[in-house]
Amino acid sequence: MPFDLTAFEDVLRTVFSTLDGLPEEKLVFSDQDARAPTPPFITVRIRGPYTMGGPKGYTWAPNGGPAGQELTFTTEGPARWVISLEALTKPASGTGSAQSLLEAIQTGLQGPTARATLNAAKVSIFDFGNVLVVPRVFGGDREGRATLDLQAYANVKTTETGTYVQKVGLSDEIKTPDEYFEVDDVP
Amino acid sequence: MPIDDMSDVIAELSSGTYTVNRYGPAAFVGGRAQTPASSQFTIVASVQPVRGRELERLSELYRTTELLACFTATRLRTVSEEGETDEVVVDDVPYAVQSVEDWSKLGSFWKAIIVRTGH
Repeated sequence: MPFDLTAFEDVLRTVFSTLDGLPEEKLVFSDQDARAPTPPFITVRIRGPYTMGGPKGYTWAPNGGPAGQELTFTTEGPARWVISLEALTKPASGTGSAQSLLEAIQTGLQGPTARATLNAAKVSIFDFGNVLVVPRVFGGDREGRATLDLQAYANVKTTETGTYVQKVGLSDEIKTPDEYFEVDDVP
Repeated sequence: MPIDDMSDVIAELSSGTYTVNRYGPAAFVGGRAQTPASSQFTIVASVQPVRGRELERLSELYRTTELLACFTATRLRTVSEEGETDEVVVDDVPYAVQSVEDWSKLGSFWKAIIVRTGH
């Protein structure tokens, strides 16, 4: 079974959603074939895994499955992830701006509640990044835009079913020594 | 009232009747877009190859993709608050509406550039 990227994304999004102060539907994953929500909204793009020296080997355990699939092999190794958040709002500065939304996430992630949730999911954010403010002129107004790149460690884990060695066969044998012969002395 | 009603010309020069898949807005649940509700209707249209100049107006990404021009007296739409992009089915192949020129005031027709979807 490959790494469950969807579950990983969902954990991160759930944490961000509790911090941004926006309605649930305003925090969406990027690059989808759908019209983006009306501002304010935040997109999440998760890049990685950037592996760190490969997996640590594998472990195995019986799984009670049928013959031939009764073992589960697990491979797990640490990886680095980059989580990019982009906020888009009507106000370009001050309260409710893209900058303030991402600042709320950035500082909120350092609080005990978010950390506990991430710890439970074995996700460790080690770089809380910088909120970059990049407003633009949109029509006759300014539109608030800001980005934030976070970095996290999380293990990449995959599983595969396998089996014991169940049968050993022989395809040939060495006969008993009665067929051996000795080389007589040369006359 | 359009200055010159060209809808009968389109009907006269039409290349056929085509099915249009129209989609509503996609809702986001858990940050992921859900499949929007869809409906179908048919249009009479003149579907033609696009001209070289029109191809050059597009970004390079689209210059090797199959594009067609679709003249019709029915309004087609790209992605908007009303919903996702319309899909015109030409020879059993879906084409997404990429841009629409509104000639309804002057000629009572719409010209859409449609792009082949899928792979």
